[in-house]
Amino acid sequence: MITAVNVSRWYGQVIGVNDINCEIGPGITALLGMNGAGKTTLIRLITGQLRPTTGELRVFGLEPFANPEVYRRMGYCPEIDNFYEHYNGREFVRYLARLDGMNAKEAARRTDEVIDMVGMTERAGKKIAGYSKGMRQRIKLAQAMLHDPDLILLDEPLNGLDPVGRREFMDLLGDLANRGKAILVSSHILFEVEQMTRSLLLLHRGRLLATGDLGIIRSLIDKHPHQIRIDTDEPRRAAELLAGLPNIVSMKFDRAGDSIQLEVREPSAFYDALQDAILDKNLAIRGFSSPDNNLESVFKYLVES
Amino acid sequence: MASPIADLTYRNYDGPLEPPINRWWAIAKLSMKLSMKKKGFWVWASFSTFWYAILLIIFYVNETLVTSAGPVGQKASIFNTISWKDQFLNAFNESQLFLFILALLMGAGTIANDNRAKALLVYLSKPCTKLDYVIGKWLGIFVPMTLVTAAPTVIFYFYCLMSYRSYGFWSQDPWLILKLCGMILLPGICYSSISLAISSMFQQGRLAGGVFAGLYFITYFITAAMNGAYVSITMNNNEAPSIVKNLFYCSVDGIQNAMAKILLHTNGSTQIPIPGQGGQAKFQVPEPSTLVFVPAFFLICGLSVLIAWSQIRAVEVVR
Repeated sequence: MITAVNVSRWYGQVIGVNDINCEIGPGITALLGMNGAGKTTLIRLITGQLRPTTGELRVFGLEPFANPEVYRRMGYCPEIDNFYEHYNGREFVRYLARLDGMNAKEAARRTDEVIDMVGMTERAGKKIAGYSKGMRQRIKLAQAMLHDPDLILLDEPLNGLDPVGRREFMDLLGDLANRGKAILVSSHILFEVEQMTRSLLLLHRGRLLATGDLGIIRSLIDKHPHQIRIDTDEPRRAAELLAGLPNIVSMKFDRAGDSIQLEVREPSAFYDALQDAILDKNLAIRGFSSPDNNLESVFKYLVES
Repeated sequence: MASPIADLTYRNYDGPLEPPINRWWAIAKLSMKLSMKKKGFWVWASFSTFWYAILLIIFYVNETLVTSAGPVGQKASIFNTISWKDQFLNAFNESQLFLFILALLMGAGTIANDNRAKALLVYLSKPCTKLDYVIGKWLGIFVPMTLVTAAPTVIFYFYCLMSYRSYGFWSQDPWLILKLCGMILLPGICYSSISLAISSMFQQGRLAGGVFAGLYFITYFITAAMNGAYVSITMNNNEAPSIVKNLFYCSVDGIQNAMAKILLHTNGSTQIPIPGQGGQAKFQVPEPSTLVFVPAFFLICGLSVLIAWSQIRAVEVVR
């Protein structure tokens, strides 16, 4: 749905995004990066509110800049949320439904429907000025879903939502993704993103550091061996049994004496060998975990490199 | 019976979507709705009709009290010498300040508030273009402003048509209604264009309003000064230089006055119909040149809209 080829955008002397190459298809894709990494610039390029300085960006095969044909199939939920404060949520969404091209009757019907989907039915009659951050996020998402778009872009959508709201939001986004829609979620709150998707676009200082599945990206980071933690009552015996395996870089015991932490290269080969090395030797193992096989670690490794 | 647990699952929309044309109307309607929700709109709109009310009182007093108590022929001396179209011109000029306040109320924040709220991020990600947005916002000021100007003018016209035909209301200018139709469009065109341009340049409605008010009153000062100069020169029975006459019309107020005089084809006459001198025009700055002021009016309005169009962008771009 979205194809970027060597896309760059400068703001005068400042680089917004630099030489971005990526493809985004159906499903949830997380756009990650620290503040100022270029996430919002990339979203604004995709939503056609900025034109790339160089490179080619296509959305549904069309140039998105000021292109209503693209906007008909796109929903955008920006980060800002101080819209018409003296309007109530329902009026605001209905007005945007008219801008989407619905007649008055359809706009009213669909407005009620999307407001229901984001759980705002009872509060939609109140003025936006009195809304909490979470309520504003819901109303923004409602307006983005009005015209049943194929692509939805959400800029920091989980900010201000309570835990239940986040769960509901994530479920709704998952529901949308399951219907074949492309959802691009920008965020810098990694653990939340991780609960939504494993598909990433990782930006740092305007450059695309990595794109694709989190697991694949992690496996490609050779500089940092994978950490594996084995919980056992006999950590020293486990160390003795594992010492012979070729992929182990280092081992250390934790202070409590009930686990061992390994640094391993090629973890899949390690796991294959693990069966013969310890599981067949009657060593009681309570659990395995991989502390750095998560988004935060991947993000940290990539940014540090 | 609906489930007590809310259904938050996604539901598709399969209803009709109109092609991305005429989105400006949705924007215009919202702007109008916002304006008409303000109490100030109705207050100032009412005030803008005050001159017609004064005229009606004068006519009523003249018709009833003066005729019954005053000398014979008093009534006839006012109505027989009155210039009817000048009464509309005077009412138009007198309403200018209130129409300006209305424009300030409706127009100053129309784009500036959207800029501040960054609402353009959302609007311009919908299938509507910058042009839709500008047209919508322009109409959002133009339509209410024109209605406010038109309502008292049309009512007064038909009242006079029914009551004063025998005093030349119809015969003086049978085409007056058409000319008035042109005149009532002027404040809408002028104020919506200028306020849109100023509003588009700011992030805050109040700031835009301040600049708009500054422009109005500074240029109004020029008009007032030239009027004073013109009257003092004419009182000495000298011919005022053309620069004084032209500068008189070089204000937000003045250019509309010029256009109204051109449309009604009159030099104007005294504000209050004076018995026996209803058509006195000695101290009125005469009708300006059509060739200069008509193009100037449309150029100013067109440029203002162009400024607004060029200023509108969803995101602030650092150059």
